[in-house]
Amino acid sequence: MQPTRTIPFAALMLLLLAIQPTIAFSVSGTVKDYQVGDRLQQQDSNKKSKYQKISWDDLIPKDWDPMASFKGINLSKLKDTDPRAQEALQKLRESWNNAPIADAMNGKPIRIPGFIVPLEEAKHQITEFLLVPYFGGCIHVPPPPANQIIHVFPPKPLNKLQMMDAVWVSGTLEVFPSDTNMGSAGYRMKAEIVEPYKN
Amino acid sequence: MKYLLSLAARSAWNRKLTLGLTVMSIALSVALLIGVERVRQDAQDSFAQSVSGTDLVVGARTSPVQLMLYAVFHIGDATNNIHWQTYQDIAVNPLVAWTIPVSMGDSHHGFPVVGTTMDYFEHFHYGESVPLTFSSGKPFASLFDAVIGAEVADHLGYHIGDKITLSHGMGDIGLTEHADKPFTVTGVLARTGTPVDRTVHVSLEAIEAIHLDWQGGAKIPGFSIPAQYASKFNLIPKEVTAILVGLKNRAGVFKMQRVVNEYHAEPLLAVLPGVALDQLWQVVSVAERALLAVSGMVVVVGLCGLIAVILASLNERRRELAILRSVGARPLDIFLLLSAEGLFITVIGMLFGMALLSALTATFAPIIQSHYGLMITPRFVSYDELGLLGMVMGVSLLASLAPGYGAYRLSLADGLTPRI
Amino acid sequence: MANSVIRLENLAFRYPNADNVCLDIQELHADAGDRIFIYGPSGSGKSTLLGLLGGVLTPERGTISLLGHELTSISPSARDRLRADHIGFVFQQFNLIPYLSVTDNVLLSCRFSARRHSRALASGNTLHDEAARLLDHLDIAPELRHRPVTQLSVGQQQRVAVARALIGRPEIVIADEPTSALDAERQSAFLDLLSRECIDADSTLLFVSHDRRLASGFNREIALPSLNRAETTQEFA
Repeated sequence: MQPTRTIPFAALMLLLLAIQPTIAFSVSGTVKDYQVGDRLQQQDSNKKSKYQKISWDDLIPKDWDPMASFKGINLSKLKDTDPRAQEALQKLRESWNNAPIADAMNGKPIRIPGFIVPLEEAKHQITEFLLVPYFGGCIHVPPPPANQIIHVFPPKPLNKLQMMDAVWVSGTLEVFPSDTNMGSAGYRMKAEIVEPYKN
Repeated sequence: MKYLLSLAARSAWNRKLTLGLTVMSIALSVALLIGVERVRQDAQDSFAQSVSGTDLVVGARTSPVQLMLYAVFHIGDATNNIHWQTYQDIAVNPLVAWTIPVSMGDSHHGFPVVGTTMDYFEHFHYGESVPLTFSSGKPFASLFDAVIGAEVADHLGYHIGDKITLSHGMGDIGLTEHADKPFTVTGVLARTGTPVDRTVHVSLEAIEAIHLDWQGGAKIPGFSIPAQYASKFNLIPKEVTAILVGLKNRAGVFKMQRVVNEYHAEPLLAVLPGVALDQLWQVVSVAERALLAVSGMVVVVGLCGLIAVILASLNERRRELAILRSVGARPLDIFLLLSAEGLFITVIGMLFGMALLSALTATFAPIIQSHYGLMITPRFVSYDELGLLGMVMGVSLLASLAPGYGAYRLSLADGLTPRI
Repeated sequence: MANSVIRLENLAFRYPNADNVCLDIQELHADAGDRIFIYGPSGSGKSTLLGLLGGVLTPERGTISLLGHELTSISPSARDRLRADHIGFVFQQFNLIPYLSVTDNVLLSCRFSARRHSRALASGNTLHDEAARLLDHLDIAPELRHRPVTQLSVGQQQRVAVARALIGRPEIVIADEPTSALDAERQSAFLDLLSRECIDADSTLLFVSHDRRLASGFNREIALPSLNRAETTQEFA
């Protein structure tokens, strides 16, 4: 081959070799840029909406007092290793785990961001999922309590979404009643809109 | 322009013997690339379809992936079993709506045997909340009744009323048989496209019964309890291998998961099937990306071969190019002609590759389904694969520019009177 | 001069990276209906001249006028179009495209030139009929027409090339050593055929050859070595 032809040929071969890894990497999976424990910003540009934007804190009943188990204990007066401090902490932890549902939220049209934990998935379409407040829940860190989970039924099966993807969910919140007092109550929503989360 | 395409096609056809090998190499590489993607896609779909409506899968503490593999797909072995008492504790938990205990360890001609209860036929769902149905017969009524999956029935030619014996352990040959306690097929399940098809189902009590005269994994020599007396003994199971759990409130899954994971009496693991499968695919995707990269490289090699063949032939085509110039073809037309030839050959190669892949898929799908319970759907091309093919087309378009450019320069240099 | 089909004036050409000009012609013209024998032995600048006339080479100075169009002042693709529309070429050998049939080879000229396409249809025939008519004149039997061109003899191939050069009645036919590959006895027969067809089609013929014996039968003769004022003739690019 004459020199005038080898150079473009060689350049093209290098280009081809450089391109082909993108075949592999663009096909499977997206890169998640969230860290474990990340929460989503509540702000988004969509101002006009019939849904009230709420935060996960709004799902905790207003009358739940996290410090209730610590009432009557003055930490400064306790000796080190006093079992009461540990007991109180244990009580707080249990209280958080069994934290009640805010019944006042029942029936409210809300819009809230969160991460997906699929419950039912067929042919890469999610038909039911749990919405949790922080990334990595139930995989890397302990999962959230009942009043920080929403059981969502999307309007139609979700394509292109998978575990731990961030989404905005809009719809009417329901308080799903419990039939025992062990706290099997929770939040549920037949979502009207599920859209990928963008800042 | 249309005429140039016609010329390109005829030119390529004229040299079909030389180009045939190149076409074949492109075909094989495309079949490989799309094949890798297809197998992964279908395997993933297949796994996802295998269980539906189950909130938690519970087993002795192990890795989530391993638990899913043996509890749902009957692949591999459990590290440990769960005590019966533990199962009962879980079953009565107020959060729980239903449970399906399963017990594994025996097989029949390579198909896994699963001991379970009637809850299985009532609560087990797959695909999009599809329940199990019987194509013939009914669930177990007597102690030594068996319900078999569609694949077992087809592969071994069983019908209602046939007698079968189970073997201890998993594997095809060299296993001890529970020959003294044959089972009767009382039901055949309709085809599901999941591992259920290749499973033999018996009652938990039956599993106990066949191991009555066994100890430590082997039959006690000289001692045997005939089948008809088995029911006289206590056949309540001592342990189970895994438990499928359905909750009253699905949002309470994390709470129940915590209860199981923190269970005091023995180390347990409870997983959400979706989460565990996702972890499985994370592991697999690393391997799959590597495979795809290698396959992509093979495609590039095939295209390089194509370019080399066309470039090498340019010298003997100088007269031909001069004739085209003489009747008015511009250098650009020459460029388009040669590029079109390259592209044309690639497209033919890709079509052959897809046809080859379809043929391979159709041939091996039944075998794979029979052995692994995975459904590979025979098809020519699926929507997602089109994306990959498009990329191959794009790369080959770029590749075809090389001989086009070479011919362009050559034509400019030669004009009407090339020196051969 | 008014009828000049081809007119070269003060023309000089040098190959890229060459030290010297290889073609230097003060004046060359052809009128409509001329049949010109150009004596061009190897090394005389013949290929260069053909390249310039065909519009694939650009002169260093001077003008080339084809049917009133000045080649040096138009774009390369316009030159390609002119060549397609107005010139038919016949080369010494390997004139035909091996993967096209005889008829398709003849029709090549009409694929790249709309003008020749419509002129070929002007007689009221289809393209295929027009090709058949020409092939008939050139003594190519009908059963050969769908054979692969590689099965034809050299003489037959040359005659097919003539048909291709003539279809659509281009104003100019340039033949570069078309008889050199033929046997001696067939050469004059070929010449007669070519001349007759060019007269029939009203085409101006430029016949380039190193064999002076063929010069009779043309109405003009030009000797390129004397016409070309360039000192050394570098024909190799």
